[in-house]
Amino acid sequence: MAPLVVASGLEKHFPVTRRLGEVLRGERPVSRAVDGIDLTIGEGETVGLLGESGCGKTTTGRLLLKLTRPTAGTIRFDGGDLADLAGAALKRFRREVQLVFQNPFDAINPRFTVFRALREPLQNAGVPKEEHPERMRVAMHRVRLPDVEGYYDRYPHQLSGGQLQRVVLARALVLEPRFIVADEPVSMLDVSVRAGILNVMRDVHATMGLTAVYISHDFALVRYVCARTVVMYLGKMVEDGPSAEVVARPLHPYTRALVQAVPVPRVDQSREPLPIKGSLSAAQAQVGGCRFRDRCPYAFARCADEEPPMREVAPGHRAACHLL
Amino acid sequence: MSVLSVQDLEVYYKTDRGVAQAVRGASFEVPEGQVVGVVGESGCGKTTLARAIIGVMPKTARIAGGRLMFQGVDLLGLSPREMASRRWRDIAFIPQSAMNSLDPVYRVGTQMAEVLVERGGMDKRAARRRAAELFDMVGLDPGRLRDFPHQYSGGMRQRAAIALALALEPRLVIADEPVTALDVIIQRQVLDTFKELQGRLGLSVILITHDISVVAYASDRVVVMYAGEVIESGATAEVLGRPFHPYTMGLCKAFPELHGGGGTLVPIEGSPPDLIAPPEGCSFADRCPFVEPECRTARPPLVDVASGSLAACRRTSEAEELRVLAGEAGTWLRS
Amino acid sequence: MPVTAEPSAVRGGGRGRFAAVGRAFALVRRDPFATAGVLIYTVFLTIAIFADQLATHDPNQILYRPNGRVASNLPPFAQHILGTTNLGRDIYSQLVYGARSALIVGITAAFAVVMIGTLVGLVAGFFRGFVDMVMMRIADVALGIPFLPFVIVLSSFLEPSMWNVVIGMALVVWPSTSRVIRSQVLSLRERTFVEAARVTGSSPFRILFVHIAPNVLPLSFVYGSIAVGWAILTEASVSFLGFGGGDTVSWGSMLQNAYASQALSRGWYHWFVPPGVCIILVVVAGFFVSRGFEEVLFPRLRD
Repeated sequence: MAPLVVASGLEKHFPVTRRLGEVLRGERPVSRAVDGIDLTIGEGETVGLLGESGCGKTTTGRLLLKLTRPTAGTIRFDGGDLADLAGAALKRFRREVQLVFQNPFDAINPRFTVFRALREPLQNAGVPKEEHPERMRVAMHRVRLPDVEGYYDRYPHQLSGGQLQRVVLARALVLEPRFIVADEPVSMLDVSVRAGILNVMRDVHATMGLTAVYISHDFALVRYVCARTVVMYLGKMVEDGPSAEVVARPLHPYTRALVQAVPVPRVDQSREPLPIKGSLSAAQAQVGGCRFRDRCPYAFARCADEEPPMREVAPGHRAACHLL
Repeated sequence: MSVLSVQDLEVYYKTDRGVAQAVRGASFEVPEGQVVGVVGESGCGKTTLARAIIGVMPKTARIAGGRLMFQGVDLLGLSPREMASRRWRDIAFIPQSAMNSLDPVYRVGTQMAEVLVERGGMDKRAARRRAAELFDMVGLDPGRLRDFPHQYSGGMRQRAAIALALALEPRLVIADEPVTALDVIIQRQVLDTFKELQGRLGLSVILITHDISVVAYASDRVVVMYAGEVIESGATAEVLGRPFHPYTMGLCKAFPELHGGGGTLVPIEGSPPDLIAPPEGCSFADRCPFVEPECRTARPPLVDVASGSLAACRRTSEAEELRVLAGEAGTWLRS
Repeated sequence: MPVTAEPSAVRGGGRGRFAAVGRAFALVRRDPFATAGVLIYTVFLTIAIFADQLATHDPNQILYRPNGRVASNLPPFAQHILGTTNLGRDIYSQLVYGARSALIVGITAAFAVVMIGTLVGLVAGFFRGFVDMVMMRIADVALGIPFLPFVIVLSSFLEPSMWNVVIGMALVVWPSTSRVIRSQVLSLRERTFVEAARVTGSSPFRILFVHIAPNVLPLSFVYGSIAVGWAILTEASVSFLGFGGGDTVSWGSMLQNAYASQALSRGWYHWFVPPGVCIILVVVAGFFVSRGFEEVLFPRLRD
């Protein structure tokens, strides 16, 4: 599998509000949303970025699409460095990558009909006008809205959440992108329609050979849609491997706690206490050492001194823990 | 013995387009010392129901019928003043946005003590002591009472909200999506604390959520709502294990399972009916794969099905076969 | 998290391209003040347009009696609907032509203010950074200029004319509009659909004018309808103080003439009451309309 996206040493820091003392000392504290990510995504791969809120998964997704500039590190897309992209090359890049948004209720201009919303990317990319109807029709079929004419004249507020998210997906697919990032695409939808969107995404990956990064806090959803799972914790990757493997044999203590915490819609679920301590208070990442050590039941002296590197334990299955 | 008995509750909203029937004849019981999970999708009326019980409704809402029997008294017959005195003392509410309901400019302890003094009639000293006690009870360090809300994580704020709700030892607690905005690990920890407290204090709880797995984890009984109606209710294990209503069957299959195989999920196509002009017959008929012409003529009543469960479906006698069919993805696909 | 279960308060007319108009009509039915505002405007607009037909005399013409004497200070409801001034001019005709100049000043000034204010607000809010800084500092300076004295100074530099008011408004009043527009743009540019447009490769100008501008135009309209009243009021004040435009008949200049002729102390109510009432009516109508529109835009003001 040829690599399509290669991120190395990726960091993104955001300035945070300074206290008076920090201002006086001339300190500029930052929050390290993404703090050293090395990730290679092969062409056609589906990768789930899994983590709790504030772990940097959304920022990582935005970095991969050049929607925000990294503080450090590089991202190569199809061999070219994203930092160098400008002009025509940037325009081409924008055609090849797409983002699916979390909130479908706000992802389409309320003054646009479905038709205009679908046509806009084609116009922007300079696709000849004659091709528009066919391309739009294909995209709508891909997201299983085959009754194309019935939707074109409608405005976003006239559609249900499920229909709207399909339109958003169709809009992302209308340019036949190679790489797509979906940020919690079903978290704002009702349970009964989520499955429909997830199935569409699975089909799209299969039929279009699309490379995809799927950002979610929901382990079960990531497992369902993605072949590979990357677990993030406070800006760092802690585990990376085939989804089935990660679920069945989690290596990192954090992943283990996650696997156990995921609720299931059955009554006979485990009620054992989670193998995790305390709770994440104010999500402060410590500098140096393992970030999970405060909550880790197995933490020992080395965890505070030395940051554990990602280590390959089984083929394609890596984790960052001193205990491995 | 029921703490609360909801009987044929009807709540209507005035909207620009007409009157929306948000809750349509909902009935269920909350047994003493049990957790009743009310589960349903957005717009099914579960939040409206909760607000009707605590008597806090927007001006556009009107209770059009039914009774809310709480310890032998119909809450709907009480004056706003009487209701206000019962709220929080007898019936406590943890709203969906409880996490954000703390005032950012005051210390959490100050805010808690203030409420205890104002509403609980305690003196300042007793209030401070009680606040520390409550914090301890929900697993928060009482030392954190001196902190400001922004120094709390989401899970901590939710615990604080629970502590505040339990402050006056209410008989009934209504929690509206108490863990929805939290991360899974925190969610689980908060639910564990909540469950433990509920058992220890013998609280009766109405747990409102869209997440069937939260219900499965934390509730003894479940009430499934759809389009303002209760369409199935009973013991959690029964309802989720052997659903009798096709909607419940679909809902149980609509979730991916972490350890499940790679089978395809089953979406329920379509969307709920417009509550301004709800259908004459079964409100789920348009999305139901097992619909028959008769389903559209009259609303099916809740009928006894098995071991105390109730379901509002004409075809409950065939539930055994329907459940098998509902497990197949093809059943739910629209042609 | 699923969206809230409570039905949204605004469902009426929809949100399409013409839906704003539809909603405006829906509101007019509900808000009698806005309806009154629109009605008053319609009446004055009709009068302004058909001033030539409606006026019985030339407003500046000095009229004579059959005996050759100036027809001054005639009482109303005789040969002249509202009587004549002390210089023998027809008050009713002055009032009719006054409506025309009032609306010309009001509408052009409002248009200029809204155009400048909206454009500055759009550009400053959208591009932010240096452009924003420069524009907002200019706005601060403009806000610091006392408006009425500025217009008076302006008319002493330029020819005395009612256009001074328009120029003065355009130069000084735009910042209040542009600040509101700018903050609206700042919030709009964070909306998902704007980011979505960026992701699909829309150019900044397309995003600004296709995605953002249409969503702030209703707000511009609110400020426009306020500016109309504001301009008419200013023009009246300037004319009343005697800095108005020479021959142009306006309600302000009518008041000034009445005042100068001691109409007030002599009890010639038919001379100064009608223009005063007209000014109040038009200005208040502007506020009513803008209030109504505000309610369409920000429905939370209801209840």
